[in-house]
Amino acid sequence: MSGKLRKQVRQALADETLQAALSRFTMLTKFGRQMGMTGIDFEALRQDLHKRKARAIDNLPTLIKEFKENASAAGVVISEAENAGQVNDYIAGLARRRGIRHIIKSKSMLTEEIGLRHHLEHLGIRVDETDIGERIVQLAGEKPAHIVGPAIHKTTEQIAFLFTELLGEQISSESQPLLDTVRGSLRQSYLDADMGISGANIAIAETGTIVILTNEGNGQIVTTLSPLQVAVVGIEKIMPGFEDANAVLRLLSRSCVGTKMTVYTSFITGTGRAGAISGTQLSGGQGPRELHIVLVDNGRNRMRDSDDFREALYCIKCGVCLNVCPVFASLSGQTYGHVYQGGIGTILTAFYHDRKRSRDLSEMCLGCMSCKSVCPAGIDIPGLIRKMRAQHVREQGLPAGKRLAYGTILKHPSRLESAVRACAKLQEPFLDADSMINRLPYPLSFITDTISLPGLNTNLLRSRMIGYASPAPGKAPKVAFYSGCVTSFAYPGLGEDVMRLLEKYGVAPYYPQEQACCGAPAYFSGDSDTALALAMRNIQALSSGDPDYIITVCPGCAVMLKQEFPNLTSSQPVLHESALRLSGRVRDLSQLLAELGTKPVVKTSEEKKVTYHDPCHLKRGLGIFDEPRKLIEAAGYRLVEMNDSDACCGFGGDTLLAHPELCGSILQRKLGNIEATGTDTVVTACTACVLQLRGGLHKKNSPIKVVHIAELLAGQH
Amino acid sequence: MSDKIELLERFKTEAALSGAQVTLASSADQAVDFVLGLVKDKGITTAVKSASPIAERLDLAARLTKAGVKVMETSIAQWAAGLARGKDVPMDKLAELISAVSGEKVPPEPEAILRVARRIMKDMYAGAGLGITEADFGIAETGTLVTLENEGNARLAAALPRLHLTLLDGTHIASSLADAAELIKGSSGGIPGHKLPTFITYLTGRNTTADIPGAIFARAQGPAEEYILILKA
Ligand code: SF4
Repeated sequence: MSGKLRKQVRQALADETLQAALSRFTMLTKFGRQMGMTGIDFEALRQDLHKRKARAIDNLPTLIKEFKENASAAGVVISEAENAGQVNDYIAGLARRRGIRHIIKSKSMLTEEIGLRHHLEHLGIRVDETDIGERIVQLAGEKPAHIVGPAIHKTTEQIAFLFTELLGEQISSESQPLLDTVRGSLRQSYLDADMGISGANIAIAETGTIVILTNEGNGQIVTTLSPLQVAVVGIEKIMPGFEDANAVLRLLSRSCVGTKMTVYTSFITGTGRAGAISGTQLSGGQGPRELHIVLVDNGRNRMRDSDDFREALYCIKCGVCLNVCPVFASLSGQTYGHVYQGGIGTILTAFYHDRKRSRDLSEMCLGCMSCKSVCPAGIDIPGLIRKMRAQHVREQGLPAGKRLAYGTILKHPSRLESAVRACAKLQEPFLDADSMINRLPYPLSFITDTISLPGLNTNLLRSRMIGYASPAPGKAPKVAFYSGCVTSFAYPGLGEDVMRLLEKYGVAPYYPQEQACCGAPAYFSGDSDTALALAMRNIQALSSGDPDYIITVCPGCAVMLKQEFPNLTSSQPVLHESALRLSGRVRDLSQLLAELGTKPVVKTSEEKKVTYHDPCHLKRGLGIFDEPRKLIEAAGYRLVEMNDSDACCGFGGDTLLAHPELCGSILQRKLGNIEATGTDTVVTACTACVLQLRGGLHKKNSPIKVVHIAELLAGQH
Repeated sequence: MSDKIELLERFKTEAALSGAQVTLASSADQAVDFVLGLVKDKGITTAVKSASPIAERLDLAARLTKAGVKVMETSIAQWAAGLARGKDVPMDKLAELISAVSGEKVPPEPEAILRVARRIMKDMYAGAGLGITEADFGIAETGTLVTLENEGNARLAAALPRLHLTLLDGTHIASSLADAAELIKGSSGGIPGHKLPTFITYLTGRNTTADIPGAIFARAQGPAEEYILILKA
């Protein structure tokens, strides 16, 4: 856990100007994405891009060679650099040899990554960023806040102040005049500069072409006007042909801005040439006379070599994963510390900058999968973060507290139960009239700063389920109930509701007594050993009785059972086989009820309005969002949709411990959206979400009730 | 035929959606009238243009000149030809002519002429009220204009003046990005060693920025307006 990062997080959360800018930004980008996704088959397009990227990265050495040959043939001076120092030295040397005093630059995250501008400025060369956002952060002496929008955190007053300083005259902070000033000042830079630097969004091997995208038009100007040009290109940008470039173009702008295409897309192949004058062919044109392309490794080959993280190279830097990240929405990009932000930034930071920082950043990820669901390159970003944590655990071991919690207690159900019973005794003095813990004593008090905790129940679910040890004979389908820890220890009554509900639906439910924790807390903290041990135990426990279905009321558990158990057991064929069989039978409760298609067993007669919160793992992990809604309505309730119903509630074990304030801020956004519906009941379909939402509302003394859909359908609320 | 009409319709719709102002002219007169109307409305007194068969066909430069607009060619060869009033002049004579307009003594060498021409052009682009270019084709799927060139003057004439007008032959519409790529692959551009022309520019809509709060979708650094004039068959 990093005290430094936590302090930075707190600062960002306390910065009201920043928070206002962030909520504007989030709203705008949400609208943009909706626009961008209309009329296309996103899944098909992203699978196509994913495949093309995968192929390109697999064949990278060949593609680099091909690109170099074709670019050189077209007159490009091409070179390769292994690290930041080599790129910076190359470009500084070139500028020195040509006597360059003033450079214009279009936006490139790679040049930020290697600190090129600072390097050149340090040598006394004037470098003007020409992307408006980038120019603003340059003048502010800051790092970009977002891959695509570097200055999303700035107000017009702050921007006007920067240009007042730069130009030595009072600049208006009204949006339009301010924009005119910025444009005018950049115009002058274009006319004065004698060298241009750009990045590239794509490089095409078969023609030696670089592709540069800008909406502002600065890229178009920078890459043409100066006779001396350098393009700094990460090797992962190289793709085989034009159709690969098209696959990127089809999704890049749609994802990040919401337009079909970026305004200017420039394909540049070598240096140009004008026609003849007085019968003599001119040797160049009005574009670069000299075009240098520097292909940069700087950690990319290492990433390519690691099976675990190779996928991060598919990133096309569209930034949409940041736009949907609840953590980013609370912090903005500066908090991440280097140049790449959010989940993907956490991985890139490890390879390009600083593994220690990356490890700290990884603790902020709540695993909500928002990023994964929108990534046009189909990157499993939360999966990469989990692997990052696992790698750290392999190298450094688990911290003592977690070793005890996972390896010693969680792994062994009987010890876990004893621990719960012991805690249940200790908790007594802290319970309030609602059997909630409103305040834990120091040093645990921080946990209850934003939520009240449910009291643990000494009458554990397993004991209550003795009568359900096996399915009723002769009845079908046989449905095994996998309860998960939250139900077992905090809400055993909910577990009983589930059984009653299933019986009313006429199926044969039973409760495999040997089931244990699904292992998610350990797995997502990087403790794969404990996760595997628990997977083995559960696979065995849940195979007993040969169920037709296994149902859960916590989609986090469902994702473990369904998706991660097969992954975890992949090296053990027999076990893997069982995991796969099991996987096919796992259902979320509402999914099963919808599949069985039976009529609601309890129907409310009162005209009652409720709202619904989509649990992250149910919507994005299992793709279920329609079923619970239909069930709620079929049971006679009127559903009032809240804003951002599928935004994370902020529940996250590790994240809560490392960054309670961050989780609190995400929770408060959710509660605000719930309250805005004016309903007095929020239904959800995940016990962890129930815990979080109930805890948050109780803390606020809110009268709004949180109901699990099992309770609602069973008429128990 | 009906396919072509459909493509054109789709192109028009998409280009307009992305922020360009699209006009369809069914005759040469209509086209010229549109341009003359535009320069009058917008108070344009100077225009820069790149090579355009459509403009030739319309005799656009002459018509604009007559309307009081100073029209400057931006390809160096055409610009030089203009200075020499279309006559074939030797290099030293050309250097003299260029010296006269540039205010510096230009030696009669292609390198020097190129250097000075670039400097002069730069100011021409930035000072012009209107840039006129011709797109090789449009892409219906996205409303994109595609321009292929080796010199780089067309993309500067498209980016730096206050307003930009693209001329487009209404029969030159590709349906999708994939089709556009096929068309492009067939055109090498003619420089030895190049498998493609030096610059292929896709222009979609009008330049924008969201970097200044309160000025969403505002004009960024390119022209204030993008006009597309399509000549029907
Ligand atoms: S990880 Fe995916 S969503 Fe995020 S910037 Fe990269 S491509 Fe875009």
